[in-house]
Amino acid sequence: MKISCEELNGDIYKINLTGRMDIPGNAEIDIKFSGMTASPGKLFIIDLSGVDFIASIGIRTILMSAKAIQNRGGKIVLLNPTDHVSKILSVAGIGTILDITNNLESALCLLLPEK
Amino acid sequence: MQHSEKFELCVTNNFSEFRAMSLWLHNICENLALPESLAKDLDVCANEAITNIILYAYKDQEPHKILIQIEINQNQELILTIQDDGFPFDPFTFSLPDTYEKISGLNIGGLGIQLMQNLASQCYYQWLSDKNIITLRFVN
Repeated sequence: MKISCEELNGDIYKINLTGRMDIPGNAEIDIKFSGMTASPGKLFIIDLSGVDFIASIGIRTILMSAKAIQNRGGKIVLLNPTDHVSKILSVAGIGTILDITNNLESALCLLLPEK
Repeated sequence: MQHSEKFELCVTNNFSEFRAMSLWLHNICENLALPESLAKDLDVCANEAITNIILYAYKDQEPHKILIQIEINQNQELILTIQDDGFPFDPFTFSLPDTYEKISGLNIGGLGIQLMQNLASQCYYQWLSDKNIITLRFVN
């Protein structure tokens, strides 16, 4: 898997994930992912458009970081999951605890609702 | 296609074999002209089942064989069977986490089993000849 992070306006960080989020793929990015989401920033967009497969290990990685971010008063939004990843997130019930959107503008609004 | 076909792959209890297994699953589905979404459902379920086996089925550090079978029957049902020689364990009687209401109270245990039970149309477990056998049925 590949992972990169970019800072958007408004102190929002966008983390871009690419590849298969199975056990071998997750092992390649989980430490970097945890490190990026442990940064001082509190608002994160996780861009899943490049993730073509996700298993429970990938969901766990996202949820553990989301929990850590939320515990320090931050928020996370999942952006643009592919069709099957979207299905798996839905089956896992993730849509009931995290915001998921297919639009960057919507993601920004969800993180900065006052604007 | 109205006939049945069966395919078999043996892997060991090592995560390094996951990618080869996934490729095998996708190749079978492609050759059978099955939809990509079904191939990915199968892939997720095989990943989850074998992850549980590798993590929880064995008390030793020795290599163990895990047998994966795929059968497509005359009713066009796809049947995934996974067999291991670990300790007897029925994953489908494992209590599932409640619906997640908020992250702070999250119980992430059992997520893989939850995925299998939701993606397959039927899941069942047998203990036969000192083997765990789980069978997942998928409607094409």
